[in-house]
Amino acid sequence: MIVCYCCSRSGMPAALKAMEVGDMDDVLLREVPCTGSVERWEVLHAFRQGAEGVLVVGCLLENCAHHYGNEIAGRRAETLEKMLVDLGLSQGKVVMVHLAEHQSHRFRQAVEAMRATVRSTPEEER
Amino acid sequence: MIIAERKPLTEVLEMLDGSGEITVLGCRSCTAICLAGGEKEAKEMTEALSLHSELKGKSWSIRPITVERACEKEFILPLQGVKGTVLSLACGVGAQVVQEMFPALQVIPGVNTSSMGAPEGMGVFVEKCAGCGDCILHLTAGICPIARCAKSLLNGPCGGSQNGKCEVSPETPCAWDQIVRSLTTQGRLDLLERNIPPKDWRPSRSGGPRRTVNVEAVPGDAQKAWRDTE
Repeated sequence: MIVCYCCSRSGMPAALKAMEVGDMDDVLLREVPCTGSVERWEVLHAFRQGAEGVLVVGCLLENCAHHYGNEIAGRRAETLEKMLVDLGLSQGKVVMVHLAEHQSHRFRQAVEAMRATVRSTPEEER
Repeated sequence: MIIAERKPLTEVLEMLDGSGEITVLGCRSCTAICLAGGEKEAKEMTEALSLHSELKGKSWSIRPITVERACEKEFILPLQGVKGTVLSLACGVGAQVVQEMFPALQVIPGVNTSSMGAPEGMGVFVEKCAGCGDCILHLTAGICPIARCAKSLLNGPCGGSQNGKCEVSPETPCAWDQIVRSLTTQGRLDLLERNIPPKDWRPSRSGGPRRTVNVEAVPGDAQKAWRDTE
């Protein structure tokens, strides 16, 4: 399962459009008011609950309605990535995606890239 | 406030090796403000350790407890009944008070406590006070040369002060440059004429752990004993 924390202004509309096309059964969307509000513990909890990868999908840089929520989310994703490696998972499990609401293709690309990362992960780490 | 920062996760995992029951202790005071050990960080550490335990088959039993102030005995009573290891995200003071109150527990520091200071901006915390025990802020426009001057100079800047910055780091403002500017604003530049004598360091760290007693607040016979020592 790939869990996607989607900003209600950009990530969520893009993800919903991408979902309409189909082939997204392994994607779980979670709408958030801003990606800056996604806490590290939530993402860690998602992995404990069985997430194989996490996408944090927010607005394009310098286009955040909350000024720098998407920048904070990006830095947080980098920290989480390091944490997960220290905890025993392989790299590439948390990815920040910046897009605009009409860029559903970028959402789909991010999901496919995450699927490839997950598939290359040893079974015991999934 | 006391400033602390989180220890690297790898170091924490190493310290916890061999543990069984782990309580992650958060503190809602200073370490919460500096984003090192508040309720959110305790929750995060709990999730992180639980994930590690599940991945590596460690069978750790982990739970978070966050108290208002880990440095006061009354506030850490929620830890009664806790067994095993406490991973303290409170400052070094809090960790020691917990250990003192519950000697059977193994208290492990989850943060590195560094200094006393204040938030300077979002996510930036700067040391302001060295706790020297002999305050001279009234002579230095409220800016402490002991904590904020790299050389702790008492009578003006050294030769390394350039463009308002310290020679030790271009990021660090020269404390004496700040003092002079502040005194100018206050119209008290005459204070620079006043020689600050060599500091009495006895009330500082040199004499071992310091004890401060407010005799009025000490109850019963103990008060007399403290008065006799005055």
